[in-house]
Amino acid sequence: MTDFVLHSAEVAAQRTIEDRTIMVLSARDSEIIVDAILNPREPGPVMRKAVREYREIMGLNEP
Amino acid sequence: MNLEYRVEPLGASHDRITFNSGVVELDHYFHHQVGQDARRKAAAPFVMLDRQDAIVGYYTLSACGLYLSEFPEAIVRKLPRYPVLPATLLGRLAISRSHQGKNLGRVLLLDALNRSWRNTSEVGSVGVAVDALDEKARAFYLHHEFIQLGDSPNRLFRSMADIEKAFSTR
Repeated sequence: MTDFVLHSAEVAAQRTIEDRTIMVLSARDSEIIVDAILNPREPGPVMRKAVREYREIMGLNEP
Repeated sequence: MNLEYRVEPLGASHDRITFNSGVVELDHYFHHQVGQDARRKAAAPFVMLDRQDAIVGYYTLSACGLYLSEFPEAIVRKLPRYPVLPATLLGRLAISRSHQGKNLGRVLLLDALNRSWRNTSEVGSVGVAVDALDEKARAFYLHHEFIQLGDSPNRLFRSMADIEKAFSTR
């Protein structure tokens, strides 16, 4: 492979990593995320049930 | 205790070549790239195994940064580490075809959330972010109380404080 091809592949790989590991958020999405962080919610019925099932399947229930 | 399923870090003894979730991208990553990411510590892969040690599913966790847009000063003061908040990326999650339809995706998701939460005693993270590959995946995360971001509809998020509440409730 030529240096150019190698370099391009490297840049592409780098970009893939950056795209996923740094999430650049719009103003609206930033607000949604900040609100979620500052105002935690109680788990709903789906999560409560899921946590119970998970503990049972994984044997994490304390005696 | 002899449990039907267990989850452990991906290791050399696990047979990942025959793994088939039916989603090309997830299978290709697991067959060809996951080992390299694990060696470089770019991602931490975990596998769910059955009693015969066959791989039922896998997921990967990495650190990620949430880069926030500009905010009013009053809110910024409440935020640690503005403008880039540390978070956990649930990079990939897949269940083998032969084990689909048994709600094991949910068990694997719960394991990822529980592990992400436990990890915060060592490394900070304000929540778990995920990129859904398709509509089905998006519906799956929404059903499990993730919130959807309006301007990046395939990206979903759940705050670590929410996750902590879910796992602290008995």
